[in-house]
Amino acid sequence: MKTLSKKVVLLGNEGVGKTSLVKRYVHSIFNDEYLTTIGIKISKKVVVVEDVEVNLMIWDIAGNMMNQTLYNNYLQGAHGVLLVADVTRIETYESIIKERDSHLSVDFGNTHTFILLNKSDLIADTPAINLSDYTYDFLTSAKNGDNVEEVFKCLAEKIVSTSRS
Amino acid sequence: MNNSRIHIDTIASLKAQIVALEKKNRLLKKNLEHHKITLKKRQNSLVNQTIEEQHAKLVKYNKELEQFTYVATHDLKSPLANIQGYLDLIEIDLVNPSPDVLDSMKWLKYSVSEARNVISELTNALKARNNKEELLKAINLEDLVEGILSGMRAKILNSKIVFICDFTEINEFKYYPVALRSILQNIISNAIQYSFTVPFPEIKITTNYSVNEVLISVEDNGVGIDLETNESKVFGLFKRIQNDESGSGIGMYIVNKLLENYGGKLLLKSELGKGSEFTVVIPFEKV
Repeated sequence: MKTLSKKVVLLGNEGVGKTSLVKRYVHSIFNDEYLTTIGIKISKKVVVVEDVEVNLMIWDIAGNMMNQTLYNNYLQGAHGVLLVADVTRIETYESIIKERDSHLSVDFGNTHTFILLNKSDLIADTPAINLSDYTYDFLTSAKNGDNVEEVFKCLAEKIVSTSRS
Repeated sequence: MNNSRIHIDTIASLKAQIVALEKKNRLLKKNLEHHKITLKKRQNSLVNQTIEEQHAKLVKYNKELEQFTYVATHDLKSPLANIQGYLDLIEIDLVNPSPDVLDSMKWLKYSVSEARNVISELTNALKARNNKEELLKAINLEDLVEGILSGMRAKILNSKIVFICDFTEINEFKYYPVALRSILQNIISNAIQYSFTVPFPEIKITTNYSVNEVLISVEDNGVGIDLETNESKVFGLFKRIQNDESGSGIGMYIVNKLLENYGGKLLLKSELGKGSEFTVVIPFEKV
């Protein structure tokens, strides 16, 4: 079986649940206790897409790094980007849309990018949320695992498909 | 005739003297042996006495050190519990706090809780000090490093250092958590200290392993060390390098002593102006 190593980057404001998504996907765990990520954490998960084994190297980049000078260096070589927003805080969605339009689509136009609205488990308790205000690819919950596996699987398939063409 | 008589008498007298001298000689030899034995006994007794005195002193020092550690850890518990209590009260009384204040409160509480955890771990380590096996536990390195970095959060944010943690090669293994925490905390703190001044500071923490060993590396792009002139100072007690006034000169000494004690070693690569890489090498025990 052919093996590929591919870099996936998670971006988004502090507290949107990037680290929780990675922990849910890689270790199948969720912890309610919130600790802000410091710097960058790299995790690995192997997924099989048809006849290809893909080592997904997942870069979880701290929310506060999005404005730092060398931020671009850490995005270099990314095959996929997951832009994560907290569905209960529309400003986090606006922030990633701005990031996509003014930065990613300019400097990383060929990188597969998905928009995730995380914390879908809170929708039922937050009547003010109107999903029609958002344009997104996946509605996820790191807490109960909804769509988490699907996001990474779909991204891996897209990356493999691109590497074949 | 007379002459021959005299000779015979003389010979007899000489023989008698020889016998007497031989008897004396035997006696002297016996005395000498006796003195030698007595002297040896005295010497042994002196040596034993000195050893006993030294041993008693060591036992006393150890006991005092142990008591000091118990008292220190015990006496720290109470003020920390107080701080925790007051933080809870302040939190209740806060009216419309800004997100920054809430964030600071959260980190204050986290730091207090971490300090309490460290004290509790230290107390357990003290209790089990004679049984290293009891201290050997499963370690999740990501969680351990996350705890260390969170405890230094304010310092890290001020310094604008970017930390990159990559434990994809190995993250879980068995070792001594209290010792490893102290080892990594000192090395990371050292790396921060010597990376402050460079324009884009970055510290990478990575792991690797072989059949017998786990390697944990902390690599910075800081000022680096001229190993030709300073290597002996890196691990010496109260020794600081390159006219540095900021450190106490204890940290790396502790790291080295802990690794000596818990079956590990420390490797150092460094180049002046380019940065340093400290690698902790410990025995690999699977979880």
